[in-house]
Amino acid sequence: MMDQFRESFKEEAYEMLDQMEDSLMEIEKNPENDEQISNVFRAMHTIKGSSGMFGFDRISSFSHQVENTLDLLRSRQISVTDELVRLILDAKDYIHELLDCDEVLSDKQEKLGTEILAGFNTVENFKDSEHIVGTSQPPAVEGPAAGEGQPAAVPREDPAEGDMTESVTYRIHFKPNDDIYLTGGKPYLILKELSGLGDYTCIPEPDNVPALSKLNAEKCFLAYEILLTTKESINIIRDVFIFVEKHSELAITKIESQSDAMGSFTSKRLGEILVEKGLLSGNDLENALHEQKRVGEVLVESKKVSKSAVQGALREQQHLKMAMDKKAFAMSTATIRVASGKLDNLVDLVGELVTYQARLSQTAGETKHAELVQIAEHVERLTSELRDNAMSMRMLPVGMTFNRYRRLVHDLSADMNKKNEMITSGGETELDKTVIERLNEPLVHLIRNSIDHGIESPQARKTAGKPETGTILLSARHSGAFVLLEISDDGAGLDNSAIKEKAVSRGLMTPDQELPDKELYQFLFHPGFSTAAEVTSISGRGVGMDVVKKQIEGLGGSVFIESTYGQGTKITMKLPLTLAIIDGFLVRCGQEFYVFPMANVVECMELTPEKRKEHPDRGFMNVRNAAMPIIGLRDVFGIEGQKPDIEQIVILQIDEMKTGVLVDSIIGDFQTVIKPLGKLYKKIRGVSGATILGDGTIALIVDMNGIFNILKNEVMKP
Amino acid sequence: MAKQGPVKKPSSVVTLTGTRTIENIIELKNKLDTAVSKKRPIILDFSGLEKIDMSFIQLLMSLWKECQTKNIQLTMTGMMRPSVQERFAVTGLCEPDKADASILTGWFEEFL
Repeated sequence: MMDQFRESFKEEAYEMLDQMEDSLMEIEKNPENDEQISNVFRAMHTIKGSSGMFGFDRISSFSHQVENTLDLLRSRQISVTDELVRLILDAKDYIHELLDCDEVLSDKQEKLGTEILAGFNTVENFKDSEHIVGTSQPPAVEGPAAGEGQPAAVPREDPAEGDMTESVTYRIHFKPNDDIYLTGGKPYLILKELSGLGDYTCIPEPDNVPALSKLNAEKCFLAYEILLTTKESINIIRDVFIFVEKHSELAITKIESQSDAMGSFTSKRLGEILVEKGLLSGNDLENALHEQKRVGEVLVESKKVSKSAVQGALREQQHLKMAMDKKAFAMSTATIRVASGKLDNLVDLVGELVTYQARLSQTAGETKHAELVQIAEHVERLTSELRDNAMSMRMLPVGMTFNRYRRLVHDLSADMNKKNEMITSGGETELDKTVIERLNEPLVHLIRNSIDHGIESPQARKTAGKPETGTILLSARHSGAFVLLEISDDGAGLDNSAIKEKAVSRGLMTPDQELPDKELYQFLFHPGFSTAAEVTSISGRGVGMDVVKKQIEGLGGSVFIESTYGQGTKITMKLPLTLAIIDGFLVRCGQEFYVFPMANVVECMELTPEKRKEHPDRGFMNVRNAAMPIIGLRDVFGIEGQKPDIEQIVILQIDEMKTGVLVDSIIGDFQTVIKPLGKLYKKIRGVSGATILGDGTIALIVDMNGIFNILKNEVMKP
Repeated sequence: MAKQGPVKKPSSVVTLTGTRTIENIIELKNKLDTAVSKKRPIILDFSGLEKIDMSFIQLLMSLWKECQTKNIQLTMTGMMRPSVQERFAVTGLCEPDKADASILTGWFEEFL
């Protein structure tokens, strides 16, 4: 059981380390970003605490020392420097290593840990010298004392105290100025606004309101205590009082947070609340508890507190209980952690189910048994829903991977004495986890290329009138059944003449041939196209652009380049949403079945004998006054036998290019569970996988990029 | 004693109408002072009330205290209009979905 907890801790620690790295990248860009500094501190603090609990003593001890420095940083006793960010990143990497090796360290690793800690000690020593950049932040909240005398201004909170992601319960004491009614102030509007920030309980405090005969009705004697459980920060709450704050008593006290509640789900007792609010002394409470009556009654009877104070405390108790119940419910229903292997198994099983469902539907259709057909239709609907649900579980936000590239940009830029920043967008775009896992290598290569070959040195950029800091934009967005992943930079761009020269020298084009930029850039994906001068220690590490293209196409995607000389380059990868089950389009050629990805199918047409006579050249066909390349699937796969009189043309599209593929007959849409081909079949051109039909027959899944390459090489060759 | 219940003595009925805010709070206070001075049970009818503010709610609390001191029964009655009811609810004197003014009595009894 302990092993399970340890594994669970490790998974969470890896996630926290990734988040920490992301925050550090932000801090490097904006050293004043208190929220990110607090994030780093909190992550380290949690790792320290949890690691000790699960027996990772080295990590606990190491992170404790790092945490000390982070605490100084958080309280602004030391400032953010590049060196410090680097050091924290090293510490983060080191903890990662400690997790990987279960703390069994080599001598080299031992030494590394000691060196990193020595670095932190040096930083800490600066705290009282020239590195001091300001004073500590004031306390995060103003206690009840502020409400007792002079009007109090509540200091702005150190964001470290206000976790934006968890609900916190605040006790807000608000006593408007006596003249608030006459000066046009409207306490109701303030309360109303607060009520919109979360779970809200207002407890008016009427003790100071005089009886009617003594009341000056135009003066305000009423105070309010508000309990607010909210995810908003204390600064947002304070902003509600912005126009009355100077002339009112205002105290905002954090009384309970989610993490507090996680430790104990017991409600506060009435007496505790009264003592906490400063309305009752500990001794008086002790005495009241000895009485054989309700504490509230005893306290009111003995005039230790007012009736309204007891009622207020009871309301607070109810509010806290409600808040904790809500949190307990949320925690029990929010998310659970499942091993990815189990998810893969689930998808495999759903795949099998889809296959058998297809078989059931087919058999039911053949038997024409009405009840069986009805059952088959029902099973088909349920299977389809199950498939969608199972697939959605595999979808992950692509932004998860973006974070690691920030670090890559940071490290490579430092190594090359360049200044670069990475901007990301669309991180919430979801992709199948397998696609995400297999994207890493191509993305790393493309980012390396951008930094090494694309973005110029700070000096060169300055000369070119650009900012010294180069920008790499990594973005993702949906486009139909695909996700477009783009890496663009504002670097030097591609030199078309140099590419052309190289292409000519390699016999890929003739000197007098003019190609559109897009086609010219496709040469960059040819093996060994890059020049020796382009190979540095950063790029040219064995994965070339040809491999990038191969990997993206291996995912069923495509890649293309756009560039403007002197302004930058953009590489777009078009990726399928998923690799496990797709909507397919089933066709037949001879005795064989083939599946096209439905996302690529544009339309279908018949090729009658008459039309065939009109187009003796089988390479192209006039479709709505446009010449469209045509290729026969029989020709691609060498299928023999008699063609039908009327063939079918399936018009497919990849990117901007359309092509017609001739098949014998069309069967229709088909939920396609993708099965990988064995090693023996890996090299078959034009096939990306296989699937099993309802009757157990195998159908091959057509590789669209493969078909287009065949077209380019054999049909469209000049 | 300020308490809701069957009224046996002849009562002073104060019908609250229109807007009762800081603009006319003194006028209302005077009206209530008069009602209290009669030392008869007071019935406050909320059904004609269209708009209130916090000074009105404070005045109610003050009236309740006075009635407690002078042992005068105070009854609140009538269906509150939504805008009035909302103000009482936001202030914590009643639940948001309760429109009957008599439920306000519960808060006064508990807190005062």
